[in-house]
Formats: sequence, C-alpha cells, structure tokens
Amino acid sequence: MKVLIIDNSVQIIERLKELLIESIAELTIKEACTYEDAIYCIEKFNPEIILLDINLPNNQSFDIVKISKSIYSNTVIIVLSIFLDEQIQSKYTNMGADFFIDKYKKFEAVPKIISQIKMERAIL
Amino acid sequence: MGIALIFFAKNNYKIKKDYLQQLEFVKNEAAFQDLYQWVLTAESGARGYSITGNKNFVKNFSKSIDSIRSSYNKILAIEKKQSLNYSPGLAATFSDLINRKIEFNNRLKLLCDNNKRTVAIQLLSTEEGLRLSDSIVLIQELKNKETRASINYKSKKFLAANNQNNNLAYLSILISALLIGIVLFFLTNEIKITKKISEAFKLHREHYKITLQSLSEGLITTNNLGDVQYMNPAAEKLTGWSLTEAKNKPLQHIYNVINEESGMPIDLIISRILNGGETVGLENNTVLRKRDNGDIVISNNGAPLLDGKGNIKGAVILFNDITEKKKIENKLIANEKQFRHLIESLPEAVYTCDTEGYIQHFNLASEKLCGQKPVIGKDKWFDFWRPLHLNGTLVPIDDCPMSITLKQGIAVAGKLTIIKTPDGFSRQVLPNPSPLFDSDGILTGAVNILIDVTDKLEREVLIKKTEEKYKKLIDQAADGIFIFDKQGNFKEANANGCSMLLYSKEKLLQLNLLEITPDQYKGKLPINMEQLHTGLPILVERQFVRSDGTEFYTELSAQLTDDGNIQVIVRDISERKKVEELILKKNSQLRQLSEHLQNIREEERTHIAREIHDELGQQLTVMIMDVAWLDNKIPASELKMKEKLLELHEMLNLTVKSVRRISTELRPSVLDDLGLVAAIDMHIRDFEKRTNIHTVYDLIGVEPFLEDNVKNSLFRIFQESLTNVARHAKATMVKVTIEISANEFILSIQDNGIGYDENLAKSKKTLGVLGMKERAIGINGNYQIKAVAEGGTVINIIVPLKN
Repeated sequence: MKVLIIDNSVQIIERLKELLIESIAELTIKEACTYEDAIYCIEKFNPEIILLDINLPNNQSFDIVKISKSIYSNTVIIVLSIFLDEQIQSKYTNMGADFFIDKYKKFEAVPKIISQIKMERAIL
Repeated sequence: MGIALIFFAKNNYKIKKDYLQQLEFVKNEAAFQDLYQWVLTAESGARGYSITGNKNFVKNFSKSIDSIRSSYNKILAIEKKQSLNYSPGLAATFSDLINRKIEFNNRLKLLCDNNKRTVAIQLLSTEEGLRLSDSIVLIQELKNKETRASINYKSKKFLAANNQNNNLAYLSILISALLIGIVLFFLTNEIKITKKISEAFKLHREHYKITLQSLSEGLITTNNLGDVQYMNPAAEKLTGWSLTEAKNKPLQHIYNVINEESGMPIDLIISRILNGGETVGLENNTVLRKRDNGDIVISNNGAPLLDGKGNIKGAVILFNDITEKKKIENKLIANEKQFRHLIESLPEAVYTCDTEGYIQHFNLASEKLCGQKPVIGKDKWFDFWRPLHLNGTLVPIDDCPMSITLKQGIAVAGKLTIIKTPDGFSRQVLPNPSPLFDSDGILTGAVNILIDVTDKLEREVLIKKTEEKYKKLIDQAADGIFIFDKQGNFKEANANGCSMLLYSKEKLLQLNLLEITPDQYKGKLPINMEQLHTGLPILVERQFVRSDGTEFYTELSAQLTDDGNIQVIVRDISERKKVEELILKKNSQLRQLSEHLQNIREEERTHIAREIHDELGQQLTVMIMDVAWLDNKIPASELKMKEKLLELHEMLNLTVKSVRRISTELRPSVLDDLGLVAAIDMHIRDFEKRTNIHTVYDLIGVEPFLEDNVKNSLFRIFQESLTNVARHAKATMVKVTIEISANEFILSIQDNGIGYDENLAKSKKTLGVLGMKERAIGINGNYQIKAVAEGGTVINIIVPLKN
C-alpha cells in the first residue's frame, strides 16, 4: 500500500515512518517536506493514503488536499495538526480530507486507521 | 249830571292814562329787549376773548363799554317808568343787578385791556359772571309779568268803568242836546280809544302768547300750590310732557331735576319759590330727567309770580337745554387743560409774555430753570432770565432775542447763551422766541422756548473724546480693522490694516475687497453676506493678496454695524498657519510611524507566533512521539520507567498547551489561514469561555478580501474592545455584529454594562480608546464609542471598502 507523508519537519516524517513500518507490513512510504515535493509525489507516486501536516506555509496544505482529490479521489487524506481548531478542521473536511488527527495526542491512531483502510481495500 | 260828567271826565282821564301807560309799557319792553340784546352781544366779546385768547373779541367790548354803560343807564331809566306797575322789591333787585353788571363789566374791561386773560376767565366763571345776565333777564321777565298783571287789572277796571260811562252818557242826552254833541264827541272819541286799548291789549296778549310760544327756552308756570298751569311748547319738548297731560300736576313730577355729578335730586325749587318767595337760579350741572328718562343739561331760573299786592300767586320756571353748549364748554375746558398740561409737561422752559414783556405764562420747566416763580402779569421776563454771552458777559436786554421779537414781531433763533441757575450752575440754552398775534395780525406778545442744550453739549464732548480714544485704540490694535460697505468697498482702515496689506490708507480706501482676494475667490466676496445678515458674527480663515502680490493667511471676524456697514477684524495668521501645517505634517508622520510600528509589531508577533508554533511545536511533537515510542518499547514490568515516561508525556502536553496559547495570543493563525470573520468568531468563543459573558454574534454579508493591515487593525480593535468589556463594563452580555456591504465593513460591539463615561476616560488619561481611534484612522476608518440610553456602551468601527 502506498503512503505519502507530507510534513515540513523531517524528524516528524522519520517518527511517523518508523511508527508505520513497525506497525504495518507491506507499506510503500514516500516522504515530502515541501509543497513542490508533495505535488510531484502525488502525481508520480499516486499514493493511496496521504498523511498531511497542515502546517505548510501559505495555506499550501489546503491546495494539496484540493489537488490530490482532483487527481485521485480515492486517496485517503489524513490531516495531522498540532492546532485543533474546529473551523480549520471543518474547512479541511469540506475540501475532502478524510481524517483529522491531533499530532500530540492521537498520532498513535494513524497506524490503526491505515491498517483499517488496508484491510478494507484488501476485501474490496 | 255835573257829577256824572265830572266822574266821567275823571274816569276818562284815568282810562287814557292807563292806556298811555300800557303803550309805554309795550314800548319800554321793546326798548329794553333791544338794548339788552345789544348789551349781551357786546359783552360776549369779553367772554370770547377769555376763551379763545383772540383779542378781536375784546376789542368791541372795550370800545363799547361806555355805550354798554349808557345802555344800562337807559334800561334803569326805563325801569323807573315801569316801576309803578310791579312790586318795589323787584325794582330794587333789578336796579341792584344792573349796577352790579356795570361794575362787573368795568372789572372785566380792566382785565381784558391788561391781557390778563386767565384772571378774566376766572372772573367769568364766578357765580356772578355766570348768573348776572340771566338774573337780569329773569327779573325783567318777572317785572313784565307783574306789569302785565297790573295792566290787565286796570283794563278790567277800565271796561267796567266804560260800561258805567255809557250809562251816564245815555242819561246826559236828556239833560243837554248841546252837551250831548260835545259828550257824544267825547264819547265817540273815548269809545274809539277804548276799542283801541282793547285791541291793543288783545294784540299785546296775543303778542305775549306768541312770544311765550316761540320762546326757545322752556317756560312753566304754576299756581300757588305748585301745580303746573302753563307750559310753552319748548317746555313740552324738553320735559316730554304735553300741557294737557301736565296741567295741575305737581311741578316736581313734570320738572324732575337732579345734580349731574351726584345724580341726587335737587331740592324742590318750587317750595323755595312759593314759600320763600326766592328767585332761584339753579346750580351748574343741573340735569333735567325727561319723561322718557333721557337726560339733558339745563340752565334755569325760577321766580314767584306776584299779584298786584305782592302776594305770591304761583311760580314761573324758565329753563333752557344747554347740553350741546355744555359739551362744547367741556370740550373747550378739556382742550384748554390739555394745552396747559402739554406746556407744563414740556421738558423745555416755555413762557409767554405780553408786548410790554409782562409774563403771562411760565411753565414748570421755566420755574425749575430759573428757580423762581413769577407773579403772572406783574413780573417781566428779564427779571428772571439774565442771559450771558459764552464769555460770561451780560447780554444787554435790548440785544436779547425776546426783546427783538417783542419789538419787531419776528421769530428769532437765538444764539447759545448761558443762564446761571439759582444753585450756581451754568446752563447753556438756545432761546427761540416767536411773536404772538391776534386775528387782526396785531402783536399781542411772544412765546419763548428755551432749549437747554447743556447735557447734549456735554454728551457731544464726551462722545468726541470717546471716539478719539477708540480711534487711538483701533490704530494701536495689532490686528487690521476695516469697515466695508455692503458692496465690499473699503470705508475705513486702521494703520495696521494698511501695513498688513502694504497699501497706503488713501489707496486702500479706493479699493474693493475683491481686489485683495486671491484668484480662487474671484468674483465672490470672502464674507458670507447671508450669514452676516442673521446678526451672528462670522469667524473664518481667508487668504488675501498684498499690494506686492504675495498671499497670506488671515483669520477674519466680520459683523454688521448699526449703520449697515461691515466691520472686519483681520489677523495675520501666516505664522500660525505655518506652524499648523507643520503640526499636521508631523502628525501625519507620527501616524505613519505609528502604523509602521504597529505593522512591525504585528509582523514580529506573527513571526514569533509562527516560530513558536512551527519550531517549538514540531519539536514537542517529535518528543511526544519519541516518548510514545519509548513507552511502547519498555516492558510493562518496568513500572518506574513507565511512570516517568507518563509524567514526561503529561509535562509535554502542558507545554504544548502553553505553546498553543502563547502562539494564539501573539497572533491567531486562523486570522491568516481563515480570515477576519473566522478569527473574530474564534475569539468570541474563547472570550465567552474565559469570561462567562454571554456573547451573541451576528454576521451580515460575506467577508471580502481585506488587506493585512485592515484585518490586523480591525481584529486588534475588536480584541481590545472585548478586553475592555471584560475589565471595565461589568456587562453580562455582549452583542457583536459584522455588517458587510459593498462599500463598508461595519463592526459593532455593544454591551449592557455601566456605560462609557467620556469624562472619566479623559480624567484617567488612558490611551486605549485613543489607540483604537488611531488604528481606525490608519485604515481610513472611523471609530465611535458612546454610552447608550438603555445602558451599556456601543462601539462602531466603520471602514470603507475598496471596490
């Protein structure tokens, strides 16, 4: 299963990658630290799941959701944030984001969600 | 026979005598009427003069006084002839009245000749003056009555004697034929005489009746009981009773007289006449109450009717309607009073004198001016006025204007002279004597009006001094002071006004305001005339052009003067204007600086907030992940380690919270990410949570694109407003409204607290509101804060939106 992690913090990408590899087998993980890398990966890699940090500058995270959904609407987008504002959450949800997870408290939920998706996709 | 003839002759002689006496009486009565009518006409001259002051009236009177006296003597002579026919009392009264009248006239003449009109009026208004003539007429009437009664009696005797004579004549036929002829001759003659007498008597009775009937005066006779016996038509008309109705009725029933002023009945005159035998002349103000209740003013007289023996047989009342006469008299008296009051109340000294200089009238102002009261008709005018030249020397009497007027009969406008008052003060007066003429154009005296101009001259001097003082003051004034007419032409300018405009006064007074007005005002006066006519002064700033073409700023104050001109005070404010412009420029720079600092601050805060959020936040995230990883790797048996990791995890969570709070407070990322409306919404929810103040939020419209500085300023004003509500307002509710239209963004914050007190805010010298206002000005907005009537405060921030 192809997973793209987009975050401007390399350390966080590493931690998430480590967490996913340890938790789930048969994952192909790509990483992007900038908007440009992220768009490139989406287009070339065509990820089934995107872990997206909303903290990219100039609202680039919104654009990524928009573009990603326009390219492949089945891509599951899991938004990770350290800022839990309802309005922002609502805005991402409206744009097509599938999950919204607090990086501080709920990041451990990420492997569970991906496992669940993997299982659902395997059945289908 | 002889005896009969003797008796006849005697009787005949007596008849003839009576007849002649009767003829004499008729003749005398006519003579008396003519004479007395003439006398009354001549006498009326004196009354006419007294009332009008016209000397023409008295001229005839004075000339005729001797003739009048002679006429009266003739009347007395007639009276002597008549006196045998009536009672001696009447004769004496009549003579006494005539003599009193002669003496009265002499006194009157003396007064008239000496121009003592006032005293003449007083004399004429005495009882004597008013009643003497009437009394004479009345006595004459009474005499005539008695005379007629006497003659009537004699006529009856004559008729009886005539019958006796006839019988004797028939007897004498038998005695002598010769004598018969003689007797017949005499008898025929006597019959003729008797017939003539009888006809004359009848004629006289007729004449008398016609006279009574045609009398304009009312005449009533009564019997000795006071019952009416006769009324002439005039009496019928005046009383409203016909003779038929009135006959035998008591006089007071028909002739109801009252006092005009008191309205009380006048004593029964009939009893005075009948019981006392008095001749009664009723007082003034006698009113006859007519049968129909109409009142007329009357003059009347009453006298007893006597028989031949002097017994009272009744009374005669003669009365006349003088209502109109009384009205005219009252009017004349009122006019005279008004005229006198007018003269007396004049503030100027007014006096009159006769041709010889004797003072005839002297008003109160004259008395006040000279401090004395003259004896009218005795003192001369120059006994009171001692006019002095302005240099203090005495003006010779012959040179005085009054002397000139009296000598030459011309009006003189006198020069300013000085009069010393008794209290030692000098008064400056202008004498204005004018001659007085009678209707024949004969000079009778002069009237002088002395106009006291002392106060006026003193005021003029004071005004002149004041004017000079103000002129100096105006010339010394630092401002330019000008007078313009309504067309803007210079009428006056002070020294500083001229130097301000760099014109000479002569040149300036030839210019119009438009000629010193810069081009941008050309054709329009720099003063709003409509506003000026409201009476309120105008205070405006205007530019003017000096003679060298340079322009300068002025502060102009203008107002209308009483004479319709415009008074303008112009202050050169060039320096002030420069300072003001500098201040404005500095203010603008300061505002720009302030905005710049605000922006820098905002950017700093944004930067710091993002740094904290991004850097610190991510590092904390990594740490939390690592702690979680460690927790997973450490076996559950390592309880202490697990416990330590949990503490570390909690500590990290608290740190994350703090980071979030600090970051948001510094700069809510939602403002950049989602815009102003979202940021306000988030702040409201946070505010309500923190303060427990119920907050209502209403958004009308859609958020447009807003520049960062607009967003920042509006959000910061909003943030501070809510902070103020929480700190000071003591409110329980806040209502936030955002109203967005095509042109405006209106943010309104209203609370229900204690209300904004502007004075209190000023006294505390707080800069919060000022800062918010400045922030609003920085984004071309308008900040308003005010207390609302129902309690609380409302803040409105209105920002225009670019299309």
